[in-house]
Amino acid sequence: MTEGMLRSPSRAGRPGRSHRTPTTVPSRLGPRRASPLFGLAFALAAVAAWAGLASAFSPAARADVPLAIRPDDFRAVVNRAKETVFPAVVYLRCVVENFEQGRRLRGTASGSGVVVSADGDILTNWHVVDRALEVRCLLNDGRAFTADVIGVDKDTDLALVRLRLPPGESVPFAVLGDSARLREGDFVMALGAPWGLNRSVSFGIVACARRYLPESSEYSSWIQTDASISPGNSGGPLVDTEGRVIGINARGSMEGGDMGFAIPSETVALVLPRLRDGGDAGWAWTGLQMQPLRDFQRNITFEGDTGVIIAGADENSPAREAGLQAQDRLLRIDDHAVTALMEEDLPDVRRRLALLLIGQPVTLTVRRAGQDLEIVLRPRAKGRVLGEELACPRWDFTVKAINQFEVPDLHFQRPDGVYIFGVLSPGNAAGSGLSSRDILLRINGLEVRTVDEVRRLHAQSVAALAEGGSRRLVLSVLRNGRSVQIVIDFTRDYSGG
Amino acid sequence: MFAPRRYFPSFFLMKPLLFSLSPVACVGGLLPRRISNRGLASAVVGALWLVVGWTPARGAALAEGEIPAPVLAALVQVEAFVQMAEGEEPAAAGWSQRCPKCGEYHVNGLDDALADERPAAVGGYLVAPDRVLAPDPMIHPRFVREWRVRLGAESVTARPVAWAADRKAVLFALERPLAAGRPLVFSPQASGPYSVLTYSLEGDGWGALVQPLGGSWLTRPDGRRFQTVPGDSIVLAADGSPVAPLSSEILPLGEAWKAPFASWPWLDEAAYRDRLAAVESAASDVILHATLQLRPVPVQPGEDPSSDSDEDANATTLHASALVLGPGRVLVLRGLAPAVTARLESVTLTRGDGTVMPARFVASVVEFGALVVEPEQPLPATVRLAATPWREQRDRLLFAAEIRVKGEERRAHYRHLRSAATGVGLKGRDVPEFAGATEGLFVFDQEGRLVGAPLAKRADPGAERWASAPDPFTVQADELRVFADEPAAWADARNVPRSAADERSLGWLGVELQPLDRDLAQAHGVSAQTEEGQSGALVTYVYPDSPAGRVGLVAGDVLLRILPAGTQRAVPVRVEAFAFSDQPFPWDRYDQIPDAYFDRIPRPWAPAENALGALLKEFGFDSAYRLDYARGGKLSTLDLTVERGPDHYGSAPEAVATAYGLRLRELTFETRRFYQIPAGQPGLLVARIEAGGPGAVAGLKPYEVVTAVNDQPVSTVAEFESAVAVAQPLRLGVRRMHQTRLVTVIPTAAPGAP
Repeated sequence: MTEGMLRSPSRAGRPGRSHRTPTTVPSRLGPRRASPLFGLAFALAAVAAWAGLASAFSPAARADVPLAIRPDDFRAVVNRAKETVFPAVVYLRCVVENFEQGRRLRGTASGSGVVVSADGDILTNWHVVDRALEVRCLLNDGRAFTADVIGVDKDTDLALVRLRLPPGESVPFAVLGDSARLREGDFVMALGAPWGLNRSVSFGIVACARRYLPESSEYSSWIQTDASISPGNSGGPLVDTEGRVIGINARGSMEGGDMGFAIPSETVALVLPRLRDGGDAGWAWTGLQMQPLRDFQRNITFEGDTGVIIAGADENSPAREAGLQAQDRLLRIDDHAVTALMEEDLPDVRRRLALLLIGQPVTLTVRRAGQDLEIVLRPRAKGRVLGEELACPRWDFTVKAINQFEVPDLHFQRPDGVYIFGVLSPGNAAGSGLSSRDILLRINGLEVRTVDEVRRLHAQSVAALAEGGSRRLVLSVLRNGRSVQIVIDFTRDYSGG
Repeated sequence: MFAPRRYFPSFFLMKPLLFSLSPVACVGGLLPRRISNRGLASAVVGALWLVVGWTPARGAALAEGEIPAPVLAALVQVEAFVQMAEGEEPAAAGWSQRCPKCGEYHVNGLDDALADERPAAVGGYLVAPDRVLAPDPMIHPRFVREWRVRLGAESVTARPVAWAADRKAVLFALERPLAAGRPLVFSPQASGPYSVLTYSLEGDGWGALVQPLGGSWLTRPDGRRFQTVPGDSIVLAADGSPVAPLSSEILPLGEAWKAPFASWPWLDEAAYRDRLAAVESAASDVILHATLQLRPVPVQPGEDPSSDSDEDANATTLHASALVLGPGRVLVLRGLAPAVTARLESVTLTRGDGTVMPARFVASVVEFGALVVEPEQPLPATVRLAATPWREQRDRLLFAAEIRVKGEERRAHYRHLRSAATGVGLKGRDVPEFAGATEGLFVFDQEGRLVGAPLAKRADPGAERWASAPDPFTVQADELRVFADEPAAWADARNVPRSAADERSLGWLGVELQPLDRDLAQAHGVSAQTEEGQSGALVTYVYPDSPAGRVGLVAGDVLLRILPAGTQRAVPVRVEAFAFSDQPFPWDRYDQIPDAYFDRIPRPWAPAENALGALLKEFGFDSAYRLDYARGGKLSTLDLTVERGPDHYGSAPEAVATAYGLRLRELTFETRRFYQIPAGQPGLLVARIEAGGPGAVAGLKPYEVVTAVNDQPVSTVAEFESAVAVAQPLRLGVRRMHQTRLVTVIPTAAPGAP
């Protein structure tokens, strides 16, 4: 194993050749009994639109497969399912940008995908194509095309890319199955390119059909399987014995045995049209923080067996403005009763809130001190979940806009602002003591709040340096809630101009 | 360098000129191998003054320094074969000489003698077949393996048998007469002009230096006049016959010096032993051993306790000598910084007979490093204080109790000593000059009265912690009488024991500070004021309604120096970095920290206790100080008063919920700022989580904020305790920066049980 294997998916896009996938890093600090699983996901749901969506696909490759298979010929069952989906599995190689090292770096990353339409729509993971400048796809039949990223959603770790097919050309595609029907013990196969080894198949069972991973199950649970999933499997399909795609493999575990995690097809079915139409998932945001009624992790059991407990509301959020309070028990969203008895029920509730119409009033019924109250709230668009990035050569750091959902602790310190994302080492910023996650307050006395402002001041500074102007840059940063001044002295230039 | 060795005792002239030269730098002709360029320079300057001060003698005395043969046969070397004693290097007050060039004392090579395995020697004069008159070496017998007297190749064993009471001379008795020795026969009637002969190690060998008597005079402001002469010498008449020995460097005008040495007041061995025994007995009655018990320095979770028990700042027991000034007044001779005195809990006094007696703190002395305590029962013996001024003690035989207290151990030695001169010390007071260390040196006169005690100036506020404490000097006993009076006149109101709570209060300016560095100093135009950023602190935030806010300090100002009222030395402002001053606190990975590390997580915010606050507190609350600061490179000054700071994290009331394995502290100004919780909004800060305890099981982490307990908002320890009383288990509303959640903490069955 290489060091690259020990990366969480959000960091998988490192420069150089890397395989984007399903690796989950258990904390090295953490006790072993703590969940070794981190990342993003999405869950199921009884989505009514499913049947309609499914009918939109016509399984092109399926006609070639003999239908009469004896049910006890297990090898034939597996083989048929594999042959059904294999033609639609894609090996992706991306040229990606990375700002984490304090400068703009390019590298390649690889992953998997599955074609879901004849005109070349490919499902993959967000973390495979994140910051991709170029996406190249290799089909099972040897054809290679470049692809465009149509839409991404970081919260569910899904992405939709589209092949640039010559006019008249089409590709084989796979059909989505229904992950809601999965039961533990069902046989599944993972198809893709582990470690870049394309046309690989691994086999296992559904270990848990509805897995909740803390911090990574915002709107969706996961399918947990013991089919081997390695870096490079990311974005590839998890296939049932009928040859239907019931999940998109997204993460694995480097410790704790055979544990892979896939985004359930229900979630895919919900997000896919949104990515196709809007380029993103278009989630609504209420700012509610919730806990289940039986919160084993926090040792707390709340009274009642319906509803979900409001733990708090984000600063400046619709929920805060509407007056929702900690300890309120949310019973209904409009006329729809919601309940989160245990934590694995939370993604459903969160997704229901995230699917509310943006800007439209919704009535929440909550029980507070024994009384039922109706509270009207207008969800807002969640918007970006990642900050804009910018490399500042000569200063030798990269900056990123503070995003509430990406760096909530920095957002708490400064709601609108820019922070130092990466520090090049050796480099001028590193030499002066700047650190990643320092929030930029002022540059030479001028306040900065946006990446554009930093870009302008950076351009001025670099131009002035080239003309032999001031060799000194005074930065005020917010570090641990405290303002700190740092001087970059270009006379001892680490980056050599 | 090899100028004739003319003693020039008029240090009124010399000392101001050459004061700054260190003894090592200027060694005169005594130790040629240590000559440095600086020493050479000082010698040149010194010689210049000698020429100015020296007038050639009238008429010829001895032709060309010709010395009669009988006199030469009386010039002997008194040799001390020195040794170490109990691990101590030999030290001798009399084996050092005031350098005529730099005015300081040079130890005459006892350590070199030891290293070179040779005796140390002084010149002496044979005054009887078996008696030698010599300058008093003032060396403790434990350092001398053997005394010998040498004439040429012959040497015999000797021992001191008589000590002059009022001049620095001692008589040695020889085991047997020296075969070649010819004792001097003094003829007081022999006529002048006179010459002075000094026998000493002169540059590259022993020699007899002859110079005219007279030629320089000293007049005191009161009109008394003296001739200044080389001491430890003999006077020769015009015909070369010896007239009298001289043992002092200043002679009153007239011919009193011609008196026979036998008529000088002498102490014989028996008398000497009696006096020494009397002093030893007096000292053991009135110099007690004081034991100071101090409260331990509180250690906060996340702080590294200093393991350096050598520092007063961390010590819990200190020991010192203590002088009984009156039945109810004892002076403890140990300077404590205010931060150390603040922790003082009890004082006990141990007498020479081993009885232990508790004592009560009365006051710290404002001027000296000492404190006064009152024993619970009156003490029987009280020190007798001499009133004789130092100047009149010059050259007199005095006795010393050298009492060194190291930890619980006390080592005492008794010996005699003499002061060869009086210098000017703290606030212009006369200070006797005793060659060698004055640590633990209690000086008694021949009547057993205390004439001087070792005291040091109290440490200046803001003195660097690693700087050595001020050296003790000998304070005239007469000055100690004042400490038997009411403390108002001499007490230091700032330097008192304080309660544990009061000890944690802060001197308050109301600013957050960042240490400067070279780049920041340049950017703010204060490089010259801060030694290129080695001192000085950048204001990064000013609390509203604080002293700094009221006088208009703003972020971006650079604090430079602080001058406490009543002192002369400004203290540079310095602040220290804290654990997370260089890197962000790992809130983003906080859940990955295992319980076992909880106590080791440093506070994420900048602690309110910084060096500036400690310094201001050391000045004392309500005391005035002057603050130099720079704004935009321009210097300004503010006159301020030290204010007592509001509660901070280190002093905030703490609720200890043992059954829940957690401790909570009230939010204070700096933590409210850090967590953005305005005053009036509820919250208690999680100060400690017991690993594996109920709080840890419930997922609580250090430095989270508990906003509600059993649905009651909590801001104070009292509110927490009343909310806890409502129900068990506890339901807590918890906030980590931006995230909130509800948890239940189920108490352990028996509080404190594992």
